[in-house]
Amino acid sequence: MPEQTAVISVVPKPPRREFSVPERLGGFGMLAAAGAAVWPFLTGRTGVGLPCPLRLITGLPCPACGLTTAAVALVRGDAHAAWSANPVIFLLAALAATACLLVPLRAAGLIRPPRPWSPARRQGLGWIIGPLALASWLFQLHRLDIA
Amino acid sequence: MTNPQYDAPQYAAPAVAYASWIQRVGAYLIDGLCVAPFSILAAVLGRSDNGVNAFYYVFIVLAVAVQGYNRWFQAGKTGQSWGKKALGIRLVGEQTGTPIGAGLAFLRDLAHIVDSIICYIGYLFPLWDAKKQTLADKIVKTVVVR
Repeated sequence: MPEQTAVISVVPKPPRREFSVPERLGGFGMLAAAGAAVWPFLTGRTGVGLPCPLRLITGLPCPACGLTTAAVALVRGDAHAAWSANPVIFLLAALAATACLLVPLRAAGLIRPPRPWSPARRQGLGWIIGPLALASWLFQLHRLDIA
Repeated sequence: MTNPQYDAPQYAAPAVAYASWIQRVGAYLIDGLCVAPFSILAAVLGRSDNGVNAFYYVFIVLAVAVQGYNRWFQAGKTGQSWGKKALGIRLVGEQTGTPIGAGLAFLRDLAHIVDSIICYIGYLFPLWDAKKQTLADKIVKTVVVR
């Protein structure tokens, strides 16, 4: 008998509802919003924070710096403070809002499962994410008076 | 002479059911909770007037021992740490589909430094990666399946 190749899932799992990447990012955004709501209480009591590893080591901020502050501000309703800390939070908020809309529809089967993007399309997305990250990084450098 | 057993059509490889990001987060948190009491005890009981006392080292060693047994030995041998067992997911090699062994499991945890150093974005990779891998997974060629 030919050797059995390793089988990862022996029992067939029931098909799980697939969600698109923006929906999953939006789901993460909702989690982040929940975390941002309780964050002030946590940091106030224990003094713990979420330091930026890059900033700790090199002194330079990263494109994601200020997102914690921005999230806390946005959840509080202070849009101006959120923008000043890191405008990218609004992108995450938009994804979270999209997820709130799409996820229940997909979970209920009212819209079709998402079609995965082709590698070419995924690569094209890199051309958007890259400049966005660069812009955010310049924003942070300016915000922290480094550049 | 043809041998029907060896000439039989090969079935396509089964589609792999990758564990979702939230399942992996849950498992990671449970694993963390197993170690947390020792870290807390080290911080609380290990403090003395001039730095740390013996209790600190005792509890740190215990914390590392629990972490090592759970995330390196157990996860390496069976594919499941306590957290993964609770969430019904398992850590396997990308190509083999079998557990990776304690050594590689340790290296994988070490490779999480790469996930952390880019502001923890590496931990978010499973949200969009095709095989739902973190950067550490990509480095040691593992996937987490359900």
